[in-house]
Amino acid sequence: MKKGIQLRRVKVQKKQQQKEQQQNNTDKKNKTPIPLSTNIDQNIQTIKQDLGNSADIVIRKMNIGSSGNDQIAICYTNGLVDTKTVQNVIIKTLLVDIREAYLQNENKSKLSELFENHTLPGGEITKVTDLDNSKHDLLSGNTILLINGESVGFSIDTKGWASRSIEEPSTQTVVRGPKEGFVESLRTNTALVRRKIKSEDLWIEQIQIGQKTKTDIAILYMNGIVNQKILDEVKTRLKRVQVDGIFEGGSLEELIQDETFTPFPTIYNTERPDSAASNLLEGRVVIIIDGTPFALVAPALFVQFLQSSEDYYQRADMASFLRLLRFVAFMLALLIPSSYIAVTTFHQDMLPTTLLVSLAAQREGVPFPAFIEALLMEIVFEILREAGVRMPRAIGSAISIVGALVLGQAAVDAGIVSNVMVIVVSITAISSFVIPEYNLAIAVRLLRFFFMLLAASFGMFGIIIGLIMMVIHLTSLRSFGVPYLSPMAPFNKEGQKDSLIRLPQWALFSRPKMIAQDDYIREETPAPEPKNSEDLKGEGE
Amino acid sequence: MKSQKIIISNLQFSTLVVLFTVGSSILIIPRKLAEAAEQDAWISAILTVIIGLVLVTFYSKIAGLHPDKHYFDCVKHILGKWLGGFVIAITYIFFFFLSVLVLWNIGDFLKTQILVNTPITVIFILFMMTVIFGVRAGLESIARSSEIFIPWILSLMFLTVIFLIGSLETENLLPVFEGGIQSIVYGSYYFLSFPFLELLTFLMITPYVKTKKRVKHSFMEGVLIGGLVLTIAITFCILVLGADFTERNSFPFYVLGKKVTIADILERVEVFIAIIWFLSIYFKLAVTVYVLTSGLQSIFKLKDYRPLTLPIGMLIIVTATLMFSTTMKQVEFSEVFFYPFTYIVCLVIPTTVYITGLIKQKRKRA
Repeated sequence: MKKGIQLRRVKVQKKQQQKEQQQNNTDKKNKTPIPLSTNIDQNIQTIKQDLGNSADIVIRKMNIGSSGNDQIAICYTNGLVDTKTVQNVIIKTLLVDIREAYLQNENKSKLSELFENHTLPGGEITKVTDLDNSKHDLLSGNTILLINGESVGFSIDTKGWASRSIEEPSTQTVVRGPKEGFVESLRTNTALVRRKIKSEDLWIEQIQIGQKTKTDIAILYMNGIVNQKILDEVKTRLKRVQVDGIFEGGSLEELIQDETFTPFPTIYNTERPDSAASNLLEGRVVIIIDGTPFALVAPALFVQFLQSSEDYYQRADMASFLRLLRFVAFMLALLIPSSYIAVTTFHQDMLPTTLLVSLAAQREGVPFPAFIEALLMEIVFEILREAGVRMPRAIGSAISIVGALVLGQAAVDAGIVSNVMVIVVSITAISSFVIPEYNLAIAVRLLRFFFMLLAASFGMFGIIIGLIMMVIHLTSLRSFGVPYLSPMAPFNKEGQKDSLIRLPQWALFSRPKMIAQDDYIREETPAPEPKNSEDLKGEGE
Repeated sequence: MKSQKIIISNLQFSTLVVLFTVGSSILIIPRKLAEAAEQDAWISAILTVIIGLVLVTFYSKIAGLHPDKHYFDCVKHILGKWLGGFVIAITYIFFFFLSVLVLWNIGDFLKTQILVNTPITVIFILFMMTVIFGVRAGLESIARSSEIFIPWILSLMFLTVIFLIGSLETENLLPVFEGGIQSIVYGSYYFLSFPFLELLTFLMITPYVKTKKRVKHSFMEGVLIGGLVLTIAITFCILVLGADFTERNSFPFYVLGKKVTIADILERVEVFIAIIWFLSIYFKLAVTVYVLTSGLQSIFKLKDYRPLTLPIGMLIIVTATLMFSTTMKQVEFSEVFFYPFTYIVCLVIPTTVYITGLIKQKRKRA
């Protein structure tokens, strides 16, 4: 056994060495970039060749001076650039304004100097001198300007592709609260957060991840509030990532999370700018990935997955009630089927006699033991749910009709399951929809079967054993060094104000202590003290 | 994670002490006390809790001798390699039999009361697996989980007590002092050794407590709450069931749960009591097994205690299965061997260690 592990270790080490060598090779390649040639035709040729003559690359050569030698070329990727800007502004300026200026003092100055002096239209303009950079800029939506006879080019920011407009988020919906959600574009998303927090302390760092996709990833944090240790940890973990591509936060999440073998999510994700902003103010780090409307929030606590941003927009008493309700729903979704199995197979004496009699009468015609019955129904329900998510929208009504039959009266009439079982499955389903975060809800779906198995073999004892194991596992989890179950365990009195219940806003003057470890006191607002009502009465009269 | 220093908060230490005190005693000790002191069991209980508080003060003094060393290291430091090694071996055997007895208690209870058709070994294995899972997760995880569960345990206890208030019969307490002071002290003999002397186990984890100056405080808090829970359990057993009936039941407090009837809606809440018992006994066993494994780790200076959990767990299961074929044999074992053994290991030896330690310290100063 030990030998096996050692062998494996040696293998892994060898692999790592190979990888490092490969990396060194690629690094070497990167370290010596190919400079732009002075010959414009050669440059164009190389770009075309390197990109495999791709159909969406547009290269246009123009003659600017009186002689045939003063050639320039613009290259852009069709679809990634704002065509209007390129055609109406850039080409027009080049062919009219700059041409005139050049013709006036031909041969006196270099073209590149002219471009620098006569500012080119466009927001951000950078000089490029090597081929790799210009290709990368070209593929990220910039327009590249090449000049004959000079080994410099210009990269003009002309990004502008079709993207979805800001809509109401489809997850984490609220009755009262902002209705805007993140979109697929990184810039729009950072702007949405920036619009909420106009502080100079909101810092945005950008890195690229993905050897092939070169996905832009923005790390947002509040300087001065964020815990430096957590921020550093987030950065080092992100830098370690070496993959071909990142398309969604989910795949990045798996690469940077603390614990892989757990059904529980240790990184929070949100589609709502207000939620991201309030998390920033609590000292958390927000990671926005280009191409997905879901931003990652780290570190995440267990209670966070049972909270909704609406809790802060409704009255405190109502919000507290709803939070407790969600917690109850979480427990119900987890334990209802297993409790049913345990009670009907092991602890019939726990039920009042009348209920027991009617239950026994219902189960009389059912051929299966309670466990098989519950398993059958739960699996059928899971299949229906998956079908509902995955199928084309147009046949949605078909599934609801079939589903109602399968999980409804027809199944009972056929004598396959009992009426009570249908109720049990329905309560479980509805309860699991109450959990506001989808990734915690799916954890519950998985654990439910584990609990059912324990209940079928050991009754209540099995359920308690399962609960103990679950809690032990939860307490051993950490999210970027922060204990997952805080502020319950380790217990923290201040944290109780805003976890399972929510106290009025004026009482919430502290940030989560485990996250913003040093500076955890926020601004304090005194509790509102309205004028005596008698004074107002006097004014009215 | 492994290289990180283990730190548990003082609150977590207290909750662990509460659970350790309540665990396995709550169902068994009412019978023992009723056997010894009849209807005066409650007086005996209160007396023992007071003695327990004094005892725990003494324990925290031992911990205060070398705050950064756990009991084994402390003993080795004070008594030297050979004598210390002998004492450590005896204490280790005590911890081992303690965990065997605790595991036997839960198995015996489940086998006779709830899972009648399940082989006892299966119950042992399942419970031990959960304990090993917890111990491998680490002391911090066990401590944090205790924090999660303690509100549930205390509120279930509170509910049970509230439900039972209607069926109290005060005549059951009469006549007071029938057996005289002798029988009360006899009851205390059992009660002191059953949960309170076993708290010696906690001297193995005091070095990990965050604020070491308040160890005594947390220790006393835990014992006070745990002792209160036990005293209430005993008193209610006597008040509702009567001394005679309490004595003749293996698990009188569990029977108590069956007596609850509230307006025909809530009946037979013995499952509440079963839950209290599972949870508290789980933590008792988890702490003991943690001490067993980490103790062995420190004796042999190993890097990690985790590989030891599985063999030690198996050893406990096998011992529990082979040693006691019936409940009667276990009771006999406890009476004849374990109670006196507890007094030797947890009272006589620590006193010797403490006095020797004090003398050594004074000599050093002088």
